[in-house]
Amino acid sequence: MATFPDDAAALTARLRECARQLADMGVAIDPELPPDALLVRLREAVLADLTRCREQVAAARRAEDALRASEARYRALFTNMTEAFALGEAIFDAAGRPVNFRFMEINDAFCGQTGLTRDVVGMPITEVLPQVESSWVERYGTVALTGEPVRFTDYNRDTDRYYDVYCYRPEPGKFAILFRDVTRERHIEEALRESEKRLKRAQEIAHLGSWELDLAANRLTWSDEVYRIFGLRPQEFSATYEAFLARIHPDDRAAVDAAYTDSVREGLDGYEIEHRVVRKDTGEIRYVQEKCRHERAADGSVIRSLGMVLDITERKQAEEALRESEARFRQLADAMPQLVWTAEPDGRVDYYNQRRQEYAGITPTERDSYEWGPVLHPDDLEATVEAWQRALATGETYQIEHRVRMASGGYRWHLSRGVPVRNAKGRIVKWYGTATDIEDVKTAQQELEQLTASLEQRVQERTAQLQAALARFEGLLESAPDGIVIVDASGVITLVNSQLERLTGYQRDDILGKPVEMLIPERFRPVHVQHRAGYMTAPRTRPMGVGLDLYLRCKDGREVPVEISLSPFTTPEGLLVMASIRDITARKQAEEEITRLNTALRRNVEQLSVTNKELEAFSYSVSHDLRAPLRGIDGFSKILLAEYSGQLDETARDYLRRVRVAAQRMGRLIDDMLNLSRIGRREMQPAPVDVSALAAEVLAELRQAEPERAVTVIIAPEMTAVGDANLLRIVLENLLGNAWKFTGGRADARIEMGTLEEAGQTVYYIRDNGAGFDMAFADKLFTPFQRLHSEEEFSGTGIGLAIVQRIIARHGGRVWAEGAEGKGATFYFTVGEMVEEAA
Amino acid sequence: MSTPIILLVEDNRDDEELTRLALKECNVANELVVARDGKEALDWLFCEGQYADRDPCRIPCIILLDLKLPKISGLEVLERLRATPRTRRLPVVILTSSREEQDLLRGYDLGANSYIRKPVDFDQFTNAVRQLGVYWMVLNELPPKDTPCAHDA
Repeated sequence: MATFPDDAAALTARLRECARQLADMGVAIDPELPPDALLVRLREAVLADLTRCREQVAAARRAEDALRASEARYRALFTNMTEAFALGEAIFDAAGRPVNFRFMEINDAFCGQTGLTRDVVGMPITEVLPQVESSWVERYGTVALTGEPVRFTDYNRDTDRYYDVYCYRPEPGKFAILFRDVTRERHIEEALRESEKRLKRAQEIAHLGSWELDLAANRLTWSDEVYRIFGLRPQEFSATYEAFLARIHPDDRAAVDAAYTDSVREGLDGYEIEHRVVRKDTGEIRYVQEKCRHERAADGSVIRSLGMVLDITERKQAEEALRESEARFRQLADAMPQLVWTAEPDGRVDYYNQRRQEYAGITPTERDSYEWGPVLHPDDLEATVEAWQRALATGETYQIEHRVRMASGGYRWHLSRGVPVRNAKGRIVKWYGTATDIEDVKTAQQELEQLTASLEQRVQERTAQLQAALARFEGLLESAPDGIVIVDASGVITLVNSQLERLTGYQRDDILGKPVEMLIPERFRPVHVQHRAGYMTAPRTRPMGVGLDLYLRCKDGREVPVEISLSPFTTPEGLLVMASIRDITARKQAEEEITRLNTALRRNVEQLSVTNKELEAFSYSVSHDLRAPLRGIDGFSKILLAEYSGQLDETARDYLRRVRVAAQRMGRLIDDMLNLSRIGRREMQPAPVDVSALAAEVLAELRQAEPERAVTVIIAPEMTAVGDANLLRIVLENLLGNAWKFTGGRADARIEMGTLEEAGQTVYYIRDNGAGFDMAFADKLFTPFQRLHSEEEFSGTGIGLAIVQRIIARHGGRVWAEGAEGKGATFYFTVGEMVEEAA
Repeated sequence: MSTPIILLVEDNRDDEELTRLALKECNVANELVVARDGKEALDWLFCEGQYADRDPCRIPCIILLDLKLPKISGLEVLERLRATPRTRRLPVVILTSSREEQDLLRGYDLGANSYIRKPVDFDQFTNAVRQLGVYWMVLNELPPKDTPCAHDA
């Protein structure tokens, strides 16, 4: 024993401990002795013990030798045994309670099963396995103390193993253990237990009972659930086949019994049967499904039957409900006027209602095929398949309109629709669909569309007409030269045109919606309101304010003289009145100008009248007074020639003759001049004139005057004119007279009168083949007293054509001539509209 | 009773002379009384003024009346003649240069028995006077005398 001088107290404590231990072993040493005395005592005791031990050793050695041989055998066994074996000694505390132990000997299997090495031998177990459970220490200590062997299975944390241990006491204070690692078995067992527990639970949940019939032992066991299914308390009594049969519904009992006995007798592997049971506790009828498997011996005899009973009442009820629901669904579906179908998520149609068969005349084989092809219009097939595939791919509602074949062979439009039904997870589990006959709807729709289209067209046409009318109206309104204001019955301005804007200087927006009085000078407004009210009671188209001077009030306050005419018209919105406003500023000015001019004209006319009177007086006096002297000249010349001829020589007589010729010519000139002026003043009396007859008369007179002349005369028949017969006669007298006169030199004289049409007007012509004239002087022909021939050639004063021109002019016509010297002349004239002349 | 009187109402001495010559040439020997204006003509006819003392029983068988006269126009003279019972049936021949329509119409309207336009050509004039004399002095029957002189007396 080592000492630790520096720790006397600890040493002393140890010595006293030893003393107490020795006391326990029967060596009486007072542990409370001083340390030195105690040490001496202890040494004496140890020596005494040593001696005793030596004696014992010598005795033992003998026995030992005998033992050694035996031990060698056992050691080999000990070392090579597969079970772990260890020899240990318990360590106790002062109170004799086991507090620790140590292994003294271990075999290979020990090491194998614990994972410890031989190094652990001799070490307190608490050092080897720091987490060692106290139960181990207690158990081994108890065995070492009591010598009663124990067998137990326990868990060790440090090795994480279960051990099945057998412990006994080879000698007091010591213990031997024989154990094996049962961790695996233990796990299996636990798993099994767990599994059984779960099974039991599962059976409870599933209402699945199991039973086992051991024919060899003739023992029937039911699981708890079987009891429950039968309305019994679990394990209420030992199961028997008879008890089982008793719970089966009387109607099913024979069948169940037969199923079992038949399967046994006929060597079947088992049987399956659904039947009803009557619950003992409640009398409730439950449906169960029974399954049984036989285990047979080599000779075929049944050793054991294993079975299960499944309560399928809920399923049955659900199935029944489903069946009913399905039947209802089918009835409903068959009753529906639509085609109804359902399809699997993959698109396979698995149901059609009766309607389809009736409708489409689908034969069973076609129906079984559940294909689109036979019932759809070929033109719609592709689109339908496409739509269906798209719906399947996307899970969106399937919808399409297509034509479905009828039994009669025709097709009718249908609206097919399919919606997916999804499970809780959103996965599509079914498609439900219908096909509705929309032929009539479609037809109606088409008719409606046509109707709508035609209606729309009519509306468009009407709109176009209205727009055109509106455009016309607006165009009319805008193109009207007058300012236009449209007011409603209450005198509010509803429309104006741009002329009015220009006229007043207002913008449309300034005046629309305002009372029309704003356009009227303030002093007239009150009276206008009254007049307007009066007008509205009896609206008619009329000028406004006849006899009054009306004024339009402009934006800048200016007043414009206007003339206004009012036109009422009725519209769906009520009575409207259109006021057409004309700026008469210019007219007023013009009127003033006219008045001024008229005054001037009147003065002129008066002057002219005076002049005319003077002229008349002049021509009167010419007529009277100018001719009188001529008559004197001629008369006295004649008397001279007659009475005093003898007193005059020939020359004087010649001169007197010339005086007479000149005087007479002057008399003719005066007469012609008076004629011309009289033509101009003469009142005209227009009437239809037979020009042909008139011409014939004039020519007859000419012929009568010169009956010796041979003149070819051609007068076109049925020439007429409207004019003054006397004046026209003068025209013909002059023109035909000229023709007569100027053809005087020709033996083949020819005068022709006729008409031709020129620009819708009758042109009279008189053509001769006489002396003609030089066209260079054509414009001088009609000048008074203008002559193209000498008096010697052709007589005349040159007033005739001037008179013709004056008469034709008074008839609104014109006269012109064509001719060439020596080649005749043609005179043309027209008789236009009669010009009404002021007297 | 001497030859019937011709009353010439003429202011133009030339025309008077020419008329006288033409009458002479045609051998019309009737007494020619000349009045040189309308007033004188009326005075003579109604025995007034300077002719107040003349024998009212001497009345013309014809009056040759010019229209354009000093003082009182020919048409006015005619009008007065026709308005006076004693003279209203006296043949009146208007002998004038005028051929104005208004004169013609007015003359006839007032009861002229004839209207002769004096031509410029003296030969024609003479011819006209001759025919006038033959007609009115020879052929024409005068209305019966209503013995105005008796009345006047």
